[in-house]
Amino acid sequence: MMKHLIKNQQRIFVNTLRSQELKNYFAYLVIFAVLGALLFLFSQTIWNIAGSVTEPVLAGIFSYSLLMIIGMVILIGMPQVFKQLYSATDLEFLFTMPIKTKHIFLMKYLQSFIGTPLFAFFFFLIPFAAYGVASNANILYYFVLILVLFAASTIGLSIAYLLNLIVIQFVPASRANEFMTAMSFLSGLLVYLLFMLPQISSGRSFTESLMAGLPILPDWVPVSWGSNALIDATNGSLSFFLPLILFLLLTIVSILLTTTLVEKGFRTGWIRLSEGSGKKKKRKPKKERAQGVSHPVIAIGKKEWFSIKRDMREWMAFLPLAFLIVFPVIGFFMGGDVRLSDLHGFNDISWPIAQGFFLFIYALFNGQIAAAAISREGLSAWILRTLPLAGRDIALGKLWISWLLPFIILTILECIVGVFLGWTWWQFIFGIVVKAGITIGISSIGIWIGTIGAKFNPSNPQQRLTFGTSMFLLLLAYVYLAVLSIPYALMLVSGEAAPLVVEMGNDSSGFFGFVFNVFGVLLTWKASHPIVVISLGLLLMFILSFGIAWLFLSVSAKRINRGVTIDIVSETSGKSVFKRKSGGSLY
Amino acid sequence: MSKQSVKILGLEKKYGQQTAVKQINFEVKKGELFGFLGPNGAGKTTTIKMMTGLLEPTGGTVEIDGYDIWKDPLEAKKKIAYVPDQPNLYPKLTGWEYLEFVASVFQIPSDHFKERGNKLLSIFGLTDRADELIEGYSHGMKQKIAICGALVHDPDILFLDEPTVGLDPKSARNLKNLLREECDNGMTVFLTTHILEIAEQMCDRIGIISDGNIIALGTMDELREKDGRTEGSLEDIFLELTGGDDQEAVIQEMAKEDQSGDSL
Repeated sequence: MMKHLIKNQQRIFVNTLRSQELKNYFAYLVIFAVLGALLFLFSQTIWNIAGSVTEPVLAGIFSYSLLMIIGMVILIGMPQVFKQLYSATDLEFLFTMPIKTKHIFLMKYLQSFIGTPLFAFFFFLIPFAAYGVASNANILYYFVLILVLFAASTIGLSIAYLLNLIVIQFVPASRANEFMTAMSFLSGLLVYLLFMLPQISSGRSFTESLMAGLPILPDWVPVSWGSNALIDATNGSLSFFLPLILFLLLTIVSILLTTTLVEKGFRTGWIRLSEGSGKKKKRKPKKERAQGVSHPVIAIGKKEWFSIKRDMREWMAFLPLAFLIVFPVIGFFMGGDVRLSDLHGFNDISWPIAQGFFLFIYALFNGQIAAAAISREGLSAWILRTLPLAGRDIALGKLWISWLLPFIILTILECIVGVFLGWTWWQFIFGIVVKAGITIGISSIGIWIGTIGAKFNPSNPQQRLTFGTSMFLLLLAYVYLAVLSIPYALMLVSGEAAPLVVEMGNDSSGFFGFVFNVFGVLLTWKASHPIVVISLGLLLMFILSFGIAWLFLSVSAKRINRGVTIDIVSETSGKSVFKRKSGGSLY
Repeated sequence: MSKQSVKILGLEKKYGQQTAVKQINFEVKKGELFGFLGPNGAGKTTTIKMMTGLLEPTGGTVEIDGYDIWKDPLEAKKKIAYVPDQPNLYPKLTGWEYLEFVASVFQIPSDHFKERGNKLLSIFGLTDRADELIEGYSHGMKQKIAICGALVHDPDILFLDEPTVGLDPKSARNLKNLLREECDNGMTVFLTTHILEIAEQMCDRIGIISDGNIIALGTMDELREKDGRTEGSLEDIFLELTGGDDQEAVIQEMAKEDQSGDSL
């Protein structure tokens, strides 16, 4: 039976390749060229340093690389495995055929292997083989290398399968897709912690330990077995045998463990996800419904809000915030070297720095969130298209909510930071009001970008923009900020700095000299009439911001009226190369 | 029933070299229940999408109560409601919130909305499920809430693409009665269907499209007359006009072969 299944997959693969558009072949070629160049550089570096790497350092590199393979396969493989096991379109058909569940599972397992695990295998095999040649390693090394790398990839894949098969037992069917996104994030954190493990256990940084030739991980950690087997094989010592066997045994155990859950986790899990759990939902006592007929612009925003708040995946857009603000702050204070009281009271320094930082974050988020609002319509786009809504109302409705959400979240964060740093009340109010004004412009740019590069992937709502347009959006948002930061900087920089800026203007020439001179004059005015200059700066900034917002909203409204095309990514069996365009028409 | 609600003039849709709809012309009168029939791929959905502003025609015009759907889209869309064959609704809205959204767009007074919304939910047996997310609805329930959303603002013209697909018999009957009642009260209904009995029982007039051309148009009596019959079902007329008789002959031939195979 496996023979038939494999042959079928092989045909699907060949037909998929044959039916690709030419541009896809070109994209593959570019990807292969980039990867090839990367591998070449990687291998060349290893070739050059092969002679000077000591055995303990090499052991550290091997352990850490094996850990990387496992981590990478878990991290990238988790959602891919979920697709293979529970949302592949061929499962319904396969389960109605007289095929053993175990065979279908094994087929899916093999399919998953030809992905991240195989890539990880080759990505490490080539540079490590280059090391073997450069260091005249024993022939055994290559044999052990292939086995160890293969085993590491398989362990990673088995863990990804195991986690999926276990997790599906507890997840409500209706929220499985969202839960998997959260799982991907959690597995990301897990992998992050895994890599931090050497640092946490030894108190030294990873590179410090590696360079000092100190063990990166304790001997009982399985990746150390693989590493030891490789070191022994390099020297031609037969003592590679025991750690290798241990590592391979672990691989077999991980596969066996995964296959024991096939019936329970795979088949019944799939049934639960596709048919629902079968349990009748408890009816909530009927409440009096709110009378919520509102203005169409408000109604559009409310509809967006419901979609965002009820879909865990939508909140993933804010995850980088955790990495940009929350983790660094925690890390900063956990370090123990800095006390909060040390930072307290330096308002003149901490406040402008924080303003710049928060503006940077706004530039990163507002545009993306606003742009995503357009493609959120996805398959439901026909509703707005057939309703009597002007493009202006749709754009405005999507703008207010996509501006308000990051504004609320970041303002709360800013207030927390401000309280810790002891800012004055006027610093709070001024900062919040000014940023509220500035960010409307960024959000409206985002709405416009959304109308030119909307993309919708039903199984991955985070993918809402085509790659090119998302890069263009980032560029536009920062150009916008750079322009707006001129009047803002005028308000932030003290008038006392005027002589210094004037002097810088005299020393520079050309464009920068001109900017410094203008800025110097304005600061001199600020020194003598601070309130007038600050008010003028504020006015100019709001005129610029609202002007740009009006401009981009008008253009967006026109585009919506003319018809926005959303690229609907239709996925079959996890391959997402085919696109279906929804008809360009009134939005 | 004299005023025109929908006027189609030289409507055409081309996809590259292929013409899906070939310069069709017809009118639908106010208060009329018009059935639009045709085999698979004949151009029914393309036509209905052009009529509702979802697809831009290559040529020709669609007038909705005197407004060109492409020149005065907002005015035209204030008059219409549309229910597609695959109602992809907002999955994260509850049924009631969806109706509320439509009511907000049409600026229906709150009291009227509440009364109308509850009445429609009750007709389609959705009252108890209205506070659940649409993503948890079955296909039939999605179809029903989409119909409720279309009717909640009392449109002048209602476009329905295969409205009975996925509906249980009771809901299908309720829909048929409701549509007849609404048409008697002045609403115009334009529907496509494959279920010819429905079209025969319900529709005032019928249009048949085949290969992008309107090949028949009129009341049941007019269609029979055109076909040279005094009686006969819509199914007979439809199959004769669209060439279904040939396929029927092949099926009968296959059945004969099976029988002779069994007797051997």
